[in-house]
Amino acid sequence: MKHFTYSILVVFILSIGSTNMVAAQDNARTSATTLWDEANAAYVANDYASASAIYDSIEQSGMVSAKLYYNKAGALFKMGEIGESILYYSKAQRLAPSDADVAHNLAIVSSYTRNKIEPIPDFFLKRWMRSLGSIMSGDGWAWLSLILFAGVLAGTLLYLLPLGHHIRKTGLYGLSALVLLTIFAFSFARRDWKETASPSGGIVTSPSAAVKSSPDNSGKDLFLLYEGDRVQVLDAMNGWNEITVVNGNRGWIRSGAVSMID
Amino acid sequence: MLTIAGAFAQGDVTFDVSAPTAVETGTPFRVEFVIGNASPQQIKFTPPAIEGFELLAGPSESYGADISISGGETVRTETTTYTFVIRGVTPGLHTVQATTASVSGKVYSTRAVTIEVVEPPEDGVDRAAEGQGSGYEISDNDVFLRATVDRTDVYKDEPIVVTLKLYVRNIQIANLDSPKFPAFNGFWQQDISSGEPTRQRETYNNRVYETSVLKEYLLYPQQSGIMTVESFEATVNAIFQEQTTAPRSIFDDFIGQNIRQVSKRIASQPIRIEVRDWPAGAPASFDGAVGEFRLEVTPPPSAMNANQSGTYTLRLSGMGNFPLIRVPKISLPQSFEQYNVTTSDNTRHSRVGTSGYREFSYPFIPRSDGLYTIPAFEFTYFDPQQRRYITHLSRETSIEVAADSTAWSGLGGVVSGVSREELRIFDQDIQFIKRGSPGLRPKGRTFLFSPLYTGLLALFSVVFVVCLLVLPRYLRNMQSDRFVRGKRANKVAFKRFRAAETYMKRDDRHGFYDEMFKALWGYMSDKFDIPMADLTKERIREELFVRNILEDHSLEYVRIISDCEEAQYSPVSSSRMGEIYREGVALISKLESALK
Repeated sequence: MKHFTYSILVVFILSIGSTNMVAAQDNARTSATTLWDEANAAYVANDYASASAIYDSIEQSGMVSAKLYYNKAGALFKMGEIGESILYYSKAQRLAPSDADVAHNLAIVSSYTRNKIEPIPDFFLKRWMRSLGSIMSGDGWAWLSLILFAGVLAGTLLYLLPLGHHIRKTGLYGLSALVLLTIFAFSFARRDWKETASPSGGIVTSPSAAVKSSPDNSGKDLFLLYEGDRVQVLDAMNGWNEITVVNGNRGWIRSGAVSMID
Repeated sequence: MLTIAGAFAQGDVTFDVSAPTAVETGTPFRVEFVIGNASPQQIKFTPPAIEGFELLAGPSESYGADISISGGETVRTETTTYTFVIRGVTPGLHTVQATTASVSGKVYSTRAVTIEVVEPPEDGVDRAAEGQGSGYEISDNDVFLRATVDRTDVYKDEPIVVTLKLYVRNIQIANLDSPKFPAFNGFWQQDISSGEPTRQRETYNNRVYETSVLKEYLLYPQQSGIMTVESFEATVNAIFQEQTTAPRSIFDDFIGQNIRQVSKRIASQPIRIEVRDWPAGAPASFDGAVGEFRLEVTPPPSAMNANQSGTYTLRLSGMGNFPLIRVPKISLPQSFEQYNVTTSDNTRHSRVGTSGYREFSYPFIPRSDGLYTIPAFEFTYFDPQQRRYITHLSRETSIEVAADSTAWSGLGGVVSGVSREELRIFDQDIQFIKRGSPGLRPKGRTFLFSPLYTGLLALFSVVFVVCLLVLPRYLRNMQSDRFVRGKRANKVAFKRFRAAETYMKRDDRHGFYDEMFKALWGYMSDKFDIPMADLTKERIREELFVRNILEDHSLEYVRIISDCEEAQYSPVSSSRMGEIYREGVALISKLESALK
């Protein structure tokens, strides 16, 4: 029982520690909300440039959301900024992977890019895992993993109780399934956490950029990427990024030409 | 010959002067004064003062009359001509002064005529003197082609007139062969030549030529930059009189062999034209119209019925690059079914450009009722004179479409054969922005590994550990309790049996059976850890069956219980007590060994 009270205390202290932060955030949030309404009004009035600028100022304040990215991407698209628009839709998709509107708009805006890059078909298990992972946001998976973890603990305790023989047997199977699900949920959450900490997905935002065989100007030009193309950054060196494209091509590109989906 | 119209007299009397506009010094030429519709007797002609020219002959008077009958009416035409033959002496512009003539007392006058006198260059003189004798050659100075443009610095789509002219001097031209006209690459071209070549006298490089306009084109440059009008080529066939010193035979003249034809390929110089692009900052509605236009919009009626056709008409009139104007895009409501745009033209190409109008009709049929708005149409053109873009804006029109009264004549809501349509996708666009609460959160923060996450994780773990520590002790207690009772079930049962035995000896039937029940039920309750209240004969049979006890034993147990119940209240045998007692003890002993 002593342990128990102690842990409650820990949680309590943690929550007190964060109340100050929460208060500061609340202030930022209310001003951001008025800005948000202004920006939406500007968008409705077809004044995309100022809508985009206001969305930008919200983003500058450090407060973001999938909706913010989504609306900004819309404004950018209306201004003809295809690359930037794809970047912001991709950011929105990272925060809300199951949002149908985001996926729809991203598909439409992507059809304006110059390159038509055919992706290599993935192994079906990988594809399934990816679509499973995009059911929820990373935070959703984190919550689920926590709940499932609690379930595993409770199940273990139950398992220790002297119950009927076959109840225990089916209980064991259930428990193993629960453990597996927890691992899945946790790994999805962890992947999102890793991507947030050091993003690897990027969008080409300069009108066009040559991909070279080595990280310097003298390298051979391998292929050309255009505004809006999606790349995966593998490595970075002296202002150059090593990237792969969905069709499997690989090379070095100037890091200034790529904006990360952070 | 240039004809300058003189003053017109009342009636039909005319007074004209005709003279060449350009001559070379020393070459005689004629100046004629023509009086029409007057008999020579009535005319009193005053000869003009001819200064700067040498009068060689004249005035000589000639008279001609012509009678024609047209439409049953007889028309008599009389002309009296006074001809002077003169010759230029000094180069420059010289004027034949205005002169007067009185016809039946009325005075008519002509205007002064200015004639340019030029000094022919030396080589020309040489050639005239001996060139023809040396051979039958065509000099470059005698025949050439020349292309002229009215301007060389224009905006894209601003009209240019190119004139192709043949210049001839001193020689006689039979015809022009195999002409090669310029391709006008990068230009939109329109031939504006009048049917027959116009002849004229012109000076060029101080020589007087007979010129004739062969072709005239109206060009609209389609690219900016330096453009070239390529050369125009043709083969000229000239005719020379054969000059022989030998005496001519009678046959020569008869056959006419003293004419020689000479051919030469000639070409005009290419012309460079600088085409400027339109200035920057064109409005979005600009689509390449250059010139000066007026916009006239005829909207459809403001009230229509559904399924009734209507037309929206745009008419552009004025002067400009009409042939190059594309069909403007108008935005009709999407539920209007639209048909092909018809374009009708009424334009004329001339030296100043293309003028007239071009009309675009947009036919449509509204398919559903409602109030629709056709947004204002915007038309922008570039005015090269003012060097700026000019935008015309039509008014926004609204149309009220009433429901089609004929379409839904079905009876009482029974609709037969509604034809369904596929959802038509007109265009793709992104979904509208999201409204409502923005749901903002600090950037770059995830719930995973956040303080709350780790806190909750720790909490769960702690609870788990605590439970894990507490649970076994509790379970042990519980289990040991049960174990002990099970172990002691036999002992307890035999204690009860002994008590039953004492009751049996006292012949206390009530006490005996009471103890027997307690012994038999209690044994099962302790052994299988079942509360007394839940015990039934069926439950006991089940429990024994699960534990693989012989069916006989469980049947016997049930039978003994039944016997006890039966004997408890029957007045008969006390001897049965002993029997039941022995059977009960024996059964419990057997079960005890079987359950071990």
